[in-house]
Amino acid sequence: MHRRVFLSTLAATAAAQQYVPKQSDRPEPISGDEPGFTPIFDGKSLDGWEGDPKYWRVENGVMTGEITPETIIKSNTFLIWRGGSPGDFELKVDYRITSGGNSGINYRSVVVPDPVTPTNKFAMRGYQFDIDGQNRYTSQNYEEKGRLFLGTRGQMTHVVGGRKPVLLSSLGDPAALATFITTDWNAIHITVRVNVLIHSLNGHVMCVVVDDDVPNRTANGLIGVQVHVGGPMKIEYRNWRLKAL
Amino acid sequence: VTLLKLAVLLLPLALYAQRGAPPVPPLVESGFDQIFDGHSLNGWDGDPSFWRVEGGALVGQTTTDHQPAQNTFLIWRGGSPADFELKLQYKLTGFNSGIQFRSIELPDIKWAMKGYQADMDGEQRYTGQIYEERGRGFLALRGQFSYIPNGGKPGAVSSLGDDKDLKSIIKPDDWNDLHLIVRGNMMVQMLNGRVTSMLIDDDLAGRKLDGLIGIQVHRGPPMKIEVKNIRLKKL
Repeated sequence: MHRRVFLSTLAATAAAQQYVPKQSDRPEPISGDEPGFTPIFDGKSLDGWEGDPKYWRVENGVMTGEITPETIIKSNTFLIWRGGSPGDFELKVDYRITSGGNSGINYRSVVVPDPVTPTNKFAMRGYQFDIDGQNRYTSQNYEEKGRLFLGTRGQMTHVVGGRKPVLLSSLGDPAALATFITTDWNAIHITVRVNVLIHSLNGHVMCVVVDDDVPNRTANGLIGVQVHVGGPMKIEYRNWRLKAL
Repeated sequence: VTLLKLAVLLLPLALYAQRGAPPVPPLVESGFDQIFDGHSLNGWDGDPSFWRVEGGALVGQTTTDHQPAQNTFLIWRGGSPADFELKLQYKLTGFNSGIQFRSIELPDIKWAMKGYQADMDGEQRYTGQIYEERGRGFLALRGQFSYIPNGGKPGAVSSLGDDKDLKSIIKPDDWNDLHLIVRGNMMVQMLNGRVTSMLIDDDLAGRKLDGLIGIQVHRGPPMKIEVKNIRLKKL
């Protein structure tokens, strides 16, 4: 086909598919994923991920992080995705955690030295979608080894640097939002654009942080999942999908 | 004594760590400019038969006998902000109004606008949503975090709360605090300290990344919109 004809045919096809709104149309909940999401965990192995095999394995198709009474840790350690350092992205994943557990998903993060456990090559600093079995912290934005609490569940905050984060607005009562979290599998959706960080859980927006702290914020970085200091615990992740923008 | 002093000093820190939530101070505004002087229409442009200043507020009003030919707007002439925060207080009595942003004027109709709107109505059906006047219509309903793919239909990605709860934070026939945060292709609308709608607009042809600010007088049943304390922070 002639290149110009081919291109104009393409354009015409695109135009034909263009959505034309009607006054009666309302936005409805999107089911499934928008185009552009790709799996970043193969469901069989930890290929593409790096961490201490003492704590991380795949079991029944599920990424599993576990601390037993024999493997208690003195500092947090991570399983790190080695497929890239996304800046603007959407990340979806399901998790399940034991009642005494603490974990979290780091993003736009870096690997840092661990003075407490110098042999730990998998300590991270950066934004974290926090997770704990008691749901005190679940879905908050916590900056591991950095600026700490950036926004708690139910908060939309503005981080300006040189002072504590400022509360811009409420996203709902934190206790009421906690009722959407189950003790079984939960669906996380993280949306990160420029300096706006949105944490959703089970279809509810839980925390939004606007980060204008230029010297301390990061524009891209690693994704990783945490096993946390404390007692024995188990965290499970499955169904990882990433849409890098 | 020194140890005691130290303990007293560290106590709040210990409590902070224990409670696990940041003590967030009340909002301190910085970088905002008033874009309405409180006593005149200086810097604003609209049909003078519908717009006036009264009681320190911009007032737009229709009656059964005095109707615009189509929705008409009071347009701010101070610029076309791209990324910004806008805060204001409004009071709506009657039919329907809204705050336009990143909008354009229609070339052929004076004081008519097209673009994003923080919507509001007297029955609180639409208040808190993001609507696109003369454009793509309903983009994010109250309670929706909505996404528009390129060339596609807006859809809700996630919920911002139960619609009844969100409706209950609106004060009918009284002053309400509206706060917009608009950055790149993402926008957040807040009412009385509560996020009511959010939108990410990836529709390259349909979206707009800067534009005019305006206030709507809606054609139809009688209405009166009052807006005051309008503060803009360009980013």
